[in-house]
Amino acid sequence: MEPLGIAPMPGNGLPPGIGDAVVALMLANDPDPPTLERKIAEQLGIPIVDARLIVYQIVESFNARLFPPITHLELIHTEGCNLGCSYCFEKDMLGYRRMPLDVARAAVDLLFNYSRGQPDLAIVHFGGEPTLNMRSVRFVTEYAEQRAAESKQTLEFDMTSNGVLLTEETVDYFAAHNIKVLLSVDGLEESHDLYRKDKKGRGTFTRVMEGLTLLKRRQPWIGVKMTVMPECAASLFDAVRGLYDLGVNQFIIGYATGIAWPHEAMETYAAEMGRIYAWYRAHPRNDLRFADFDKPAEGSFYGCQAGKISVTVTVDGEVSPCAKVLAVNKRELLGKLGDVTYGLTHIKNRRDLVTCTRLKAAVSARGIADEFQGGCFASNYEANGDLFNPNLQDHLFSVLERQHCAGCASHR
Amino acid sequence: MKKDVRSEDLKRIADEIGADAFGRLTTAFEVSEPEMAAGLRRGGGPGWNCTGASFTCGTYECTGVVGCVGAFGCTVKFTGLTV
Repeated sequence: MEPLGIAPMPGNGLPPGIGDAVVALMLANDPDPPTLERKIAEQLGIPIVDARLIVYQIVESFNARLFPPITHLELIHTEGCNLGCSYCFEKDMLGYRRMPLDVARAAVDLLFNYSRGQPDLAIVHFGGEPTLNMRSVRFVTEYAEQRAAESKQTLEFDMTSNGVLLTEETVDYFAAHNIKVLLSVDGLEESHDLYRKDKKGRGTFTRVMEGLTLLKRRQPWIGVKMTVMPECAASLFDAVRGLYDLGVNQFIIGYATGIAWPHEAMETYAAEMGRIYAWYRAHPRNDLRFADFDKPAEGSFYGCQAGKISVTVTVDGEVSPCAKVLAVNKRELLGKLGDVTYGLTHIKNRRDLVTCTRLKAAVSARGIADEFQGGCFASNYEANGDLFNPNLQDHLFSVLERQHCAGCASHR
Repeated sequence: MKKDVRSEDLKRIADEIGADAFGRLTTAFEVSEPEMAAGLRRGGGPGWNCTGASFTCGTYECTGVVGCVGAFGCTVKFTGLTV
C-alpha cells in the first residue's frame, strides 16, 4: 500500500484537532458533519469526497461500538398518496416528492453497512402510497437482493399499501420478489369508508377488496392493518369476522392515535378486543393469526424498534426513527438520526431511543411504571409535544385492554 | 494538488481518527454521562437496551412484528407462519 504522504504528527500521529472535532460532532445536539469533513480534507490534503467517506466510516464505527446493529430499513418511496383519508397520521407530511434512486441506493447501503453482518435483514416499502413509485420499489428490491447475495445475508421485504393501485403486473412482481403486502383496511364497508376515502371523497372499500382479491391470487396469506376510530369501536368484532370471511388471514388492530377518545368508546374498544380474542382462542384456525395475541406478556420493554434496530429513510435521504415519528412534525425531523450521506451522526438522539432513560424516568415520575412502559414515541409527541413523555390516553387504553382482553397482556 | 486516496488508506485513516476520538469521547462522558461512558468502555452492544433484556428485541422477532411503521408502531412479519 502506498503511504498517503501525510506528515507524522506529534502524539498519535494525527493532525491536531481532528479527534476533538469528531468528539464535538458526536456530542452535538445538531451535528454538522460537513464542517468535520472540510476540516479533515484540509488537514490531510485530500479531496472532499474522500473526507466524506472517512467521516461516514468514523460515524459507522461509533454506532457499532455504542448501539445494536440496524437490521430493519423502512423507505419512504414517495410522499404522495392517491387517497385522502381524513385521519391519516401522515397527512401533514404528504406531498409530491419521490425518492431518487441515488438516495435509495445509499439507504440500502446504510442498512448493509450498519447491519454488521447480522443474518436476517428486512426492508419495508412505505410511503405515502409506495405503489406510486414502483421505479424506486423495484430498484431497492433488486439492488438489496444483489447486496444480500454478495454478503450472504437473508432479506425480507414488506410493503404497507392501501391496495387501490394494485395491478396484475405489480402483484406478479411482489410475488416474484417475495414482497409481502400489508393492506390498510379499517373494517367492513361502512366503517372503512367513513375515513378511508379518495381525494374526491369517495369510499374506497370496494376498490381495496378488488385489490385484495388480486393480491390473494399470488399472496395467499393476507394481512391487514386496522385503524379503529371511536365511532367504529362497537363494530370491531363484526368487522374482523367479516374480513376473515373475505379472505384476510392476519390482523394488526390499533386504535387511532392523535385524537381524544371518549372513555365509553375506549371501554367499548377494549371489550371488542376481548371478544375477538375469545373467538380467536375458541376456534383455532390455521388460516388466521393475531400477532398481538400471540405475543408473550413477559419480555415487553420500553420503547420499540425505532432507532434501536430499525430506521426510516425519507425521500431526500434523512434518517428518522420511524415513519410515524417522521410524520408527526412536518417542520422538524424529530429524533433525527442522520442521513444516508454521513450515516447515523445524531448519537444523542439514538442514545435516547435505545436506552429510553428519559421515557423510563417520565413513566416512573407518574407512578405508572408497573403497568405501562411508555407507549409509542410518536403518540407521546402527539399528546405532549415530547417523544419521551408518555401519552396518558395510551396508558389508559393499555389498562383497559388488559382488563377486558386476556390476549392483550402484552399491551403496555 | 489533491491526492487520490485509495479505499484502504481511507479505512486506515478513519480507524485511526475513530480510535483517537473514541478515547476522548469516553473521557468526556465520564463526568457528564457515566452510564454512556460505561457502555463505551464495554464496547457497546447488549448493554444498550430499554429494560435490561437483550437488545435483540427477541419479543418482536418471535411474535411477528417487524418494525415501527404504521399507525400503531408495527407491521406484520410473515416469515415463519404456517400458511
